[in-house]
Amino acid sequence: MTVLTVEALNAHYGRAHVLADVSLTVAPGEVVALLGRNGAGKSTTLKAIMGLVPPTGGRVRLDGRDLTGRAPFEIARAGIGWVPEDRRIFTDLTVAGNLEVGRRPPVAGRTVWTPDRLFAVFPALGRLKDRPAGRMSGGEQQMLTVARTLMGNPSVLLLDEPTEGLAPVVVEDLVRTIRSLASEGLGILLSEQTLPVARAVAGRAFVIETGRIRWEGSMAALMADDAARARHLAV
Amino acid sequence: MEFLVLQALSGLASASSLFLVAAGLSLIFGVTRIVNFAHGSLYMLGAYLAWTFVEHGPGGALGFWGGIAAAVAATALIGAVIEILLLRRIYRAPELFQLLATFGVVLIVQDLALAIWGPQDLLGPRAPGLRGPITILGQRFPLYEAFLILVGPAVLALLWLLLNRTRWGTLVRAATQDREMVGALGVDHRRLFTGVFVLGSALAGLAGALQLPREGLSLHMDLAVVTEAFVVVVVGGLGSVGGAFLAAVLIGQLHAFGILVFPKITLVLVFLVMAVVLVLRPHGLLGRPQAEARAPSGAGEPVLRPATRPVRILGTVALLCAIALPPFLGDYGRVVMIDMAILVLFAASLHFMMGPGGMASFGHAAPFGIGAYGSALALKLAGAPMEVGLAAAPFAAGLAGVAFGWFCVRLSGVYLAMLTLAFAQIAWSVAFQWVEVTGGDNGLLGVWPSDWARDRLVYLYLTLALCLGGTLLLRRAIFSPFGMALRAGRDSPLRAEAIGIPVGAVRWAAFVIAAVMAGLAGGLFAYAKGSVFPTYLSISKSVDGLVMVLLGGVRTISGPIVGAVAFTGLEEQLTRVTDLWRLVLGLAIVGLVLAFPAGLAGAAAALAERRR
Repeated sequence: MTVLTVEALNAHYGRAHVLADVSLTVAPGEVVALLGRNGAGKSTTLKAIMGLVPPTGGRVRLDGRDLTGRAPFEIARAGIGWVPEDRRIFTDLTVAGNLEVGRRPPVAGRTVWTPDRLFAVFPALGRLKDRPAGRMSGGEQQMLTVARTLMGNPSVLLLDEPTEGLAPVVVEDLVRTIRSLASEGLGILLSEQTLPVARAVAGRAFVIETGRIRWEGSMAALMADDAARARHLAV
Repeated sequence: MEFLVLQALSGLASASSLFLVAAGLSLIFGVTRIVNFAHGSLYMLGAYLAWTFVEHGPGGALGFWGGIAAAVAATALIGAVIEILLLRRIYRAPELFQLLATFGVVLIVQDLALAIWGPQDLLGPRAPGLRGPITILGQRFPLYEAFLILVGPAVLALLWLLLNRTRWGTLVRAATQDREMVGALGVDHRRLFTGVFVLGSALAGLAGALQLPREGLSLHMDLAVVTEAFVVVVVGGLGSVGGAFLAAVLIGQLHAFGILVFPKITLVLVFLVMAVVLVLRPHGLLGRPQAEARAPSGAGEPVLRPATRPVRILGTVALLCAIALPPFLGDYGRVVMIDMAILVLFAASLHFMMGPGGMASFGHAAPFGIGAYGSALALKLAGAPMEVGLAAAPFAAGLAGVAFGWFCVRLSGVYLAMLTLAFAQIAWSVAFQWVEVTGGDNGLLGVWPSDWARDRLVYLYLTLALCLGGTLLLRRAIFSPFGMALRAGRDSPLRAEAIGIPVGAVRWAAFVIAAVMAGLAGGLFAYAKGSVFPTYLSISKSVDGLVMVLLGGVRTISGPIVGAVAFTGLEEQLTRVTDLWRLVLGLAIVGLVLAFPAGLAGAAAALAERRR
């Protein structure tokens, strides 16, 4: 059973072909890693799923429903939550204000998130509820951007390099959070440049290079395949 | 002392209406990133609609306050129509193209208002219950003015509550910072944009309607108020409602006291303050560095390439026609051709700084008019003949470019555009108010060419030679190493600096080159008309230039040329055929923007690309 199905997705920046026939699936409760070097097309894949980069070919389906070509807000309402790489916190708003922007009405059959439930998952945010989001540390901002997207009660979460630039302790927190979110049935597509975090949370992996999926299989198989790792991931 | 207090109070009353207009403008810009030129038109419509509802309301049932309320509602509705029918379709178009579209709306509203309410100024009734004066410090002060003083802070408080205490306000503030992210969180940005535009329109309508008991209504209200509102918004900081209030009070006081201290240069004073604020605080008093309006990710500026073979052949044919045609034209045709040639150079010089330079100017009339005044003053003050006058024009404009450019190139985007507008308004005010030297509104007359060039045909060829020469020189500069450096600085200032390009100096030089060429065009224009007037420096002249460049397409080199010829031709034909030429021109602009968001030449280039 899959919740998110991406079929032969293509995208262009002007004339540059940046995504070529990217196909992948995510099942409910599953964490899937999208691995690749800097500039390989990870962020573009997530943005194309979200409709932020208009796909020039291929399909995006959520629970069988075709979302290709829809506006980003419609895709978000359908149940895909996107957590951008550069966080894009609303620095002028408080933590509570940021969560309010993400709030969507509950949908039957999906986990319903409220600020209080999120504060239980991210205790730091609860303590900083009324603080302007611009005056938070990078780790706290990363928690906030995940929490903000969860307020939309998504069924799939697209996490774009969430651990980039975070302190090791914060990364451990985030790894625990990702696991617990998945255990509640949320499908997660996680883009990462490096293996440690992906290895800790993901069951399957897709490796992308110059906009094409070059390798796919279980995380364990990737860890066993030294040649593939050296070819597609080693810097 | 008492007198000064009263003066301050009347400054506060003006500040209130200014704030209402500016707050709407600022909110709209913050969320949609559209510089809404039509905001002044909404203000004007609010005033005229209020007049109609109050004086001729259904059975007089509305009364004064009912009429005001009806006018506000009607203006809001008009705002909704503009947003839904026009702006919603062009949010993805380049920023300046949106500006052009709103200017099309300005033209349409001007002619519609003229057709509906006629050219004469209208006087409204006094406000019931607020007639007569009150006594403050033993001085009489109009009660209505006192009421207006309260309206500003009241609206500020309401807006604050709306923005800080409601979900809608939270969404608006979030969208002001990053509208793409707001969309990705499931917020329908179209409804949000419409809502903000309607709110802004209602505020403009309210400001206009409240003017009814205060001053006569005229068809010039629109551009007058929108210029002031731009100043207020930019001084206060784009997108900041509190900043708009602060700046409105500042500008209101400046008007009130400036007229006492420097009656001659009140107009200069306002723009001087704006220039100083922008140089000291480039983002306005309470503004924040604007995160680039995150456009949907995609390709950046297209690469400019030398003309392809077909374009080259087409250009050569057009050029040969231009050279061969004049002897066969009547006098009228020759006059039109002279105008066209001059405007081609004017547009090309504006394009040089806007396209490759990435510096949009709302005040390109400044170098043009300064060039014209340079020629005329060389004649009036030194008795210089045309040959010297034509050299004085680019020289004077270039000097002005050096001075203005030093300030302007420090800024970017809308702030830069506003500063150029400020300088153009300063130049206009000087020409308008320094009567002893410039002749003020009467202008300088008798600026005729030397004897050998007095024949229209000869002068036409002289103009053609200089304008085509100048245009080709600009084109040459775009592909020179200097032009490459300029384009590099536009696309990525940081990387350009890192490879050793002095971006600031290059931009400054481009600013001066554009000024020199516009000055030459202005000088030629002065001798072609035989006179020089402050209108050469006016906003509408600057806007003409913008329309030409944007109509043709800012991303192509042939664009400004095509645009200038199309614009002059269109205007010339329309004024002959119909009184409603502004309406037709406005509709044409709006139609063109909707049909070809990349401009005429851009559309042709895209077509050629597709065929290949």
